[in-house]
Amino acid sequence: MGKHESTTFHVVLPSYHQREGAWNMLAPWTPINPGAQRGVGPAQDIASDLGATRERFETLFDTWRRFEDCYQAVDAEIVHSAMNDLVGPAIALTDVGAVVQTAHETYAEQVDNGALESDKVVNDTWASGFEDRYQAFLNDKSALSTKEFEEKYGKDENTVANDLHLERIPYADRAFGVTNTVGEAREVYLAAIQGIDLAEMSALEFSHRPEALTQYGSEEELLQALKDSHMFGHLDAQDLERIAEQAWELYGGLPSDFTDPNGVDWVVGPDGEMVRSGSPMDPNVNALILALLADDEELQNTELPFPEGVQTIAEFAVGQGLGKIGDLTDLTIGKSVIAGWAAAIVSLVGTGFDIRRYESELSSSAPMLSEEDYQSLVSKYSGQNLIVDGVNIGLSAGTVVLTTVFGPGGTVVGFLITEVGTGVTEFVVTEVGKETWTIDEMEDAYNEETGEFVVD
Amino acid sequence: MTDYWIDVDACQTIVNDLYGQLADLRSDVDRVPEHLEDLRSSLNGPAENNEVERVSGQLDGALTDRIGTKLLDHVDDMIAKVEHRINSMQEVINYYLSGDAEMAHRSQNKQDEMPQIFTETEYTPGHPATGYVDSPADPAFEGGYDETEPLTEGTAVPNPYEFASDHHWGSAPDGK
Repeated sequence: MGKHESTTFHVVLPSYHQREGAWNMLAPWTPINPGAQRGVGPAQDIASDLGATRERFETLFDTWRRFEDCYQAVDAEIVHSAMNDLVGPAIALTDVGAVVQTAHETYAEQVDNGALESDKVVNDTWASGFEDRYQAFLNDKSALSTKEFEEKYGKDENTVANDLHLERIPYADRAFGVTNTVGEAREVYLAAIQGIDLAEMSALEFSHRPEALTQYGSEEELLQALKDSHMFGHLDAQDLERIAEQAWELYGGLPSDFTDPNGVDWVVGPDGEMVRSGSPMDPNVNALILALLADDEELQNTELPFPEGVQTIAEFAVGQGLGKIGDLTDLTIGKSVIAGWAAAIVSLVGTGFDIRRYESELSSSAPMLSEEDYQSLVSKYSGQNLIVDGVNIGLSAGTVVLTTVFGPGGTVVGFLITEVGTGVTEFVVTEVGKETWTIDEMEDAYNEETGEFVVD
Repeated sequence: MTDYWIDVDACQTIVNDLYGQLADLRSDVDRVPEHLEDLRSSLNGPAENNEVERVSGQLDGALTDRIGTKLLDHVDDMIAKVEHRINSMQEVINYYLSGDAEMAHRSQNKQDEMPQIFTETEYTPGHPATGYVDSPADPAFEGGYDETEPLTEGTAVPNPYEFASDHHWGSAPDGK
């Protein structure tokens, strides 16, 4: 070993040489890919285990609710609502699964997308040749006189050493980049997992936007809502009357997920927040209306205006996962069909921050929204979009990495925001534009005399 | 005449269904530990420097803590509550069926709070007894009422379910 090599090479970039034997500690070692794809299956399995577990709990809660039909003692209300406090904890199961799955998939995309492998191929191909040249240089530096060295290399030792040093910089940077990418991706992953707060995720949130609380008090109101709907308003009035009549018969029997202490029924809405059963945001109401429309021979071929183009009602219904329109002829089977379809529709909603997609999927999931409420919701999310765009502007400047964490049904659970400069990652549960009550606030806002909620 | 009524057969059917569903609650979540092991092992890739090593250790710890411990505790807690509530409901049914409730209400002159007890109904075992009764005035109840003889002395409990949940009469298995 020559007298110069220790200061020139091994001290400058020590972190490249931690792995003993890596290129004889002469060339920067590029880490092999961590193989994140192997974890994608297990992460999805965990999400699926938890989703299935939530369904088991919810089936049990539905069974418990059958006491309403056979237990009417003094304490009937206490019995009927005895499982209420577990509805939120059951929903949290899918939230946790979604965070694990999304966090791992995001990590896998960052480290297992082929870029790191190709970096390693480039670096390793270069490194083997560099190692040989570097070793030869060290040997010559020891063995040859200064003159012999300069004759052989055409320059002096320091110049050759410097050239070798300069040559390795971009490769060293690339190797360091691979390590950094893996480290940063794991930081984001870590923040997501550390962000799992079961107490927070178990707390039910009750939307108090008007469209999540409104109920139709009569067939006429339901008809008016159809006429006001941003999606169906243009349909023939007589056709809508027929639909309203059929819908009204089934309206009172819509399934719900939760009965509050005041006896008000709620369902999990398209944004993952509880909405009042029967409201324009109730997935079951929207599924019911769409099922009736798709089953109506006069209307099923009518075209509907979607933000991304026109579809017939029948096409739309099929697109929503309603493969067999004929199955809906007997709507008295009600709950299973409607609930199943509602689940398919809800799964399409909550699109992160592609506002066009959001508009489209909001239309699909809640076509009964009035034009005004629809625009109001779109602008709510547009506002969110601007904020995220603000972060994305930062991203383009290389200062912030933003990852959206999707929850069940594509709802946005939160964001991971990584400051590249500091490497600090935060898991931010989505709060922007939220208009919800806690269960206590919801109960306080209820007016028993009117059966309505008072929104400040 | 009391405004309250209970169809104890239908309630018992529900409790039986609930016990069946309780037994299956763990079927899926029991696979989480195995899948978590697989997930963690996929993350044991090369660390390459101290910083990444530190983060990887924290990540493994966080997964173990949040999923392997807290989430499973969360599910255990939910299952324990569900089981406790089903047991309590079984006790309530037993309370009414045994005649203890009737006797207790009578001795305290609280007959107006004693529900009518129906034990012979039209429902088919294994099927929910929904839809065929609306109220005690429903004609479906005529002739279905079986006045159970009081068996033991007792105290009328204003909220039998809560009482069972808090104290237990000791008649249900594995009550907590």
